[in-house]
Amino acid sequence: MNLLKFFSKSFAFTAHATLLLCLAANAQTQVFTTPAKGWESVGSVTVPLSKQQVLMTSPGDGILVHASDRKGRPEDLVTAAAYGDIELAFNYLLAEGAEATLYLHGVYPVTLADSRGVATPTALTNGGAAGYPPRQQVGRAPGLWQRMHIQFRAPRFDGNGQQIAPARLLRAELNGVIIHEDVQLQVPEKANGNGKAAEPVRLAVSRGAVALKDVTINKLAEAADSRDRNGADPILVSAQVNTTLRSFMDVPDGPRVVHAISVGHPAQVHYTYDLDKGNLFQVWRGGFLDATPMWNNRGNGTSRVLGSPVHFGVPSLAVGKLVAADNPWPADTAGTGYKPNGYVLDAHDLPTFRYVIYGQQATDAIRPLTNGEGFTRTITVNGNTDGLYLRLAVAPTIVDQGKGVFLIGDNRWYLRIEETGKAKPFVRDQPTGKELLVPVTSITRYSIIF
Amino acid sequence: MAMALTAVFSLSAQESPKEEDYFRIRKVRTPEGIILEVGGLAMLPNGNLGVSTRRGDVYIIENPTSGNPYFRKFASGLHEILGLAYKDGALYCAQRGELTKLVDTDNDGKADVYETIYAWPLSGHYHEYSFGPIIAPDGSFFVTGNVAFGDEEWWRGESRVPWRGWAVNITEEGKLTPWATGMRSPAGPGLLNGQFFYTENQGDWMGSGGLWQVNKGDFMGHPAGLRWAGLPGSPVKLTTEQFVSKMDERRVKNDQGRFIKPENIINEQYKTAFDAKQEFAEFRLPAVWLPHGILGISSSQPTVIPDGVFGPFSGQVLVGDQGMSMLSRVMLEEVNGELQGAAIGFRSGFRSGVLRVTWAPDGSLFVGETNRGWGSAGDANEGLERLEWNGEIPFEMQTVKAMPDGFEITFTLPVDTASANDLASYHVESYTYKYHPVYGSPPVDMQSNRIKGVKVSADGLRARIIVDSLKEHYIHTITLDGIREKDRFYSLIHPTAYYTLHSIPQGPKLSMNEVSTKDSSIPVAEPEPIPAPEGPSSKPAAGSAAPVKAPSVKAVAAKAPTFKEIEGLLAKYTCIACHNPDKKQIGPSYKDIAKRKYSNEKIVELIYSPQPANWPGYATEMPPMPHVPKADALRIAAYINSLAN
Repeated sequence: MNLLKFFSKSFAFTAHATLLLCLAANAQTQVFTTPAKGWESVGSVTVPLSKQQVLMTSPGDGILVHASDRKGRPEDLVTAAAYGDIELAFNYLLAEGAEATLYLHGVYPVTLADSRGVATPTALTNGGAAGYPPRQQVGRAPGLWQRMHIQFRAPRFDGNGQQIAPARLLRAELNGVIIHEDVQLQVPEKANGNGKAAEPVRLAVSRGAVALKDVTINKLAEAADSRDRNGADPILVSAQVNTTLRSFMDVPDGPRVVHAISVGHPAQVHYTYDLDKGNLFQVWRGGFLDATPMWNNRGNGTSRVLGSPVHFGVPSLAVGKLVAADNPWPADTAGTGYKPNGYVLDAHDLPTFRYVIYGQQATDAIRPLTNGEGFTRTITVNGNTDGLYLRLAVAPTIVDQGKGVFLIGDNRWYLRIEETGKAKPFVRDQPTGKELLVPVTSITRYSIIF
Repeated sequence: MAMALTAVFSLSAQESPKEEDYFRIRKVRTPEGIILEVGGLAMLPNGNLGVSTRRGDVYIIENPTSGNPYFRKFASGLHEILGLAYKDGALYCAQRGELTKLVDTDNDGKADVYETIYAWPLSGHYHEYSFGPIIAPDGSFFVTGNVAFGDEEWWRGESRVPWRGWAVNITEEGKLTPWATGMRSPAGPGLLNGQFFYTENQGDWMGSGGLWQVNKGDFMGHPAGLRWAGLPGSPVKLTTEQFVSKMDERRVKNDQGRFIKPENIINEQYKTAFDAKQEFAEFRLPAVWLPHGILGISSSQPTVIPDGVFGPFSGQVLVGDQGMSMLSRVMLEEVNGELQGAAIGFRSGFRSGVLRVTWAPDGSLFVGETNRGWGSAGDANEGLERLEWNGEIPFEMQTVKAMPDGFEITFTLPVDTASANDLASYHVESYTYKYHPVYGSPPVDMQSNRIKGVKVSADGLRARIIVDSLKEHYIHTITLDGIREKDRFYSLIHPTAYYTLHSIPQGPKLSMNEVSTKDSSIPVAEPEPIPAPEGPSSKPAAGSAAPVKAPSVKAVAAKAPTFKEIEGLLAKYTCIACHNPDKKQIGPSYKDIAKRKYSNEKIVELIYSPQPANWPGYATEMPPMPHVPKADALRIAAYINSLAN
């Protein structure tokens, strides 16, 4: 049951107007004109995995939400100020089937939509912009926060209001991945190119529930063109068929993973596995790998994720032995007898990893879900599993949504338990945050949805 | 047979025949889109060829010597594979971080089992390449591993994790035994007649490339790996502390507290590898040095020439070289328990850098190539070629053996006795390398050794020379420019051999009354009014102007030499091993150097003490070349600067 409450208070959304060649002016101004019909300010939002078209809220501040179409489509959100060249960033979260359009300079559309399962992206796919499909499909599942970061150059007009230079989308990053770069924008038909140097930004929701937070609009600084035109020709690895590639892999705030294997799938969801730990440490949607760092010139042995990864923290063991249930998770393989055995490819060239830990033989198979919304992972351990646990997730917050579904982090990904035998998963508090553990049984299966 | 006839016909031209008239480089037809940056080659028992690549693929090529080879992608997605071996129905390869067994269990032509035999630690430095495996006679595996380099001391090889800078032995069951250390960049492990060998290239503590036998517990000279000598199972007892107590690592900081890169000191008391051997019992000298810039700059895989293959050279060793896209031939012998011998050029002209070789059932040699990141004389990025002998006997030194009083050279064809009995046909020089933390070493303590007599066998197949002042542990450069073949007066295809003389054999010496002491160079001939072009095979390029008669020596000195005029010096000092007039090779082109507008004097300075930091786009450092006489260095500089316009 989802109770909607309307608040008529001013929002905390602010713009940092950074003036060129000037003192950093940090004047806090309101971004959107509020109140706007159909929008409210809330403290948190949640989409239950079992009912993804529903967006639940809890009271508070900081998130601007259109939570339901029951009372009709909401009024467009319009910025209080008008802007010329801007740098715009915000986080957004969509319920299932939601669609919205952001209009830069009032007229140039950028699509925000639940685009799961779209085989061929268009300008109307999540991240599509004014005639341009996104370069990659790096959107997240309904109910998860996504981030859009846009640099926009407004059209230029002469004294008679005639356009003398078209608008340009200098850069758009969705979930950290460039989906547009320096493309010229045409004024859409029927749109009013009114010849003004500054116009408000507008957000129109056409369908479904939408949440926004951390909206910032800055005046765009004049960027020096520092791009290296003599850089190496990119060497990209796609996954038109199931594809494995070993390389070094750098993870944020973690060590360089030196025995890493990335596995790519035509469904355009991919993952990287740490063969030194027997564990998955990142999944992503979008393009597979950029092997230029490894295969151009001498190379440094690394490849880079092309799409937008969800990291599972510093790579660590999946299977650990805890003498007492509150023991900290093992920091490394010391004392575990960990030995990697490599992997076996199935008839579809998908790997099942094998290793020995605590004297037991483990296998680990990670398979894409048929609709491309994530993975199902199956871990087997043969023999005596007394005192052994699987750490399924570690995050600052883990919320049990019931029926084996856990929401990990601040709406970052979902974990759905599929099979754990008689073992019951549980969340425990550790100094580093929450951990989702389950006692090891002969087979454990769960899904990762992102 | 038509081929052989053509070859014979072409030999009837005036010039002496060359490598390519006997050993042909054949292509292996490769489907478009396959990138064969070859890291490993393995001949399978059924005649198929396994090829592993730096891109991480393994191909199996059916009918690889035919005109229609068929490629199957056997495995993919591995990490920069730099070796491949076949054993008992499986392929084994060293990736950067592990030894992997690849098995096709369902006979679909593709590996489905990628089994980790042993995973070793890595720090993640780019230079941590791993090579192998080499399958030992007992079925176990040898793998070698590169060192990383320092961060601030980017020039210094360092072993950040076990077993970088080591050779290790690994069993099928995954048991690792550390085997030997002191390796820096051991790209060429190999099994020669059942013994484990490896090649190495010049670098810090490595004066030049060479071929080393590797016995358990050996220390090859680079100190980085000693860090792990104290770990359980290490057969090397020498510690880093013991090493630095005897050897100056030259970790010196400047006023700003920054480390100073060690450079060659031209006039200094230096140590040689042999001096280090006197200090450290584990120290292993190379069986042969492969002189830097002459017989390569980045030595790769060695292989024994099988019986019945490549004619007179069966049983000898070929060693590849990546940077110079060539193969050298090594003639090993054991003298007083020391393995030593001569090295000589064999075949150059491969399309890319030679990294791996393996023998085909038909007696030809597959050559696997890559140059990515380092450059090579052959300017293709990668390749798989095949070297084929046409059955004709080239005129070559077949063997060079140390004698109590000099050397004995055997020839593949009888020599013209007049040329062979003339001491002027022989030149011997000796030199050694420094053992120091500088990148490479110039040849040092170079001297000319007088030839005192020669005895030529009645069949013309053997010449034994008495050489003055032989020096143990020195390389003896034996040049036989004047020797001619008996019937057609051919010159030797490779007139210079480099004998690493660790030990002078005992035994009878020649007496002076049984040798020829005729020396046509002693009664000085009437000076020629016009200096003839040097060398038997040099001829003016078509269309070039006739040599201008020099009105005076001064005028000649003032004018910058042309490439033709300077080519001899560039070859003599091995400059052309790495530099080309017009295009980037291992080092920058002379034209690019000219654009820097250095003065001639500055170029000389840079020849003596190169500054690799000036050329960040080039992977391979230039070793110091202070042995180039200043007058010659100035002529080279003048030539380089003449290209500025």
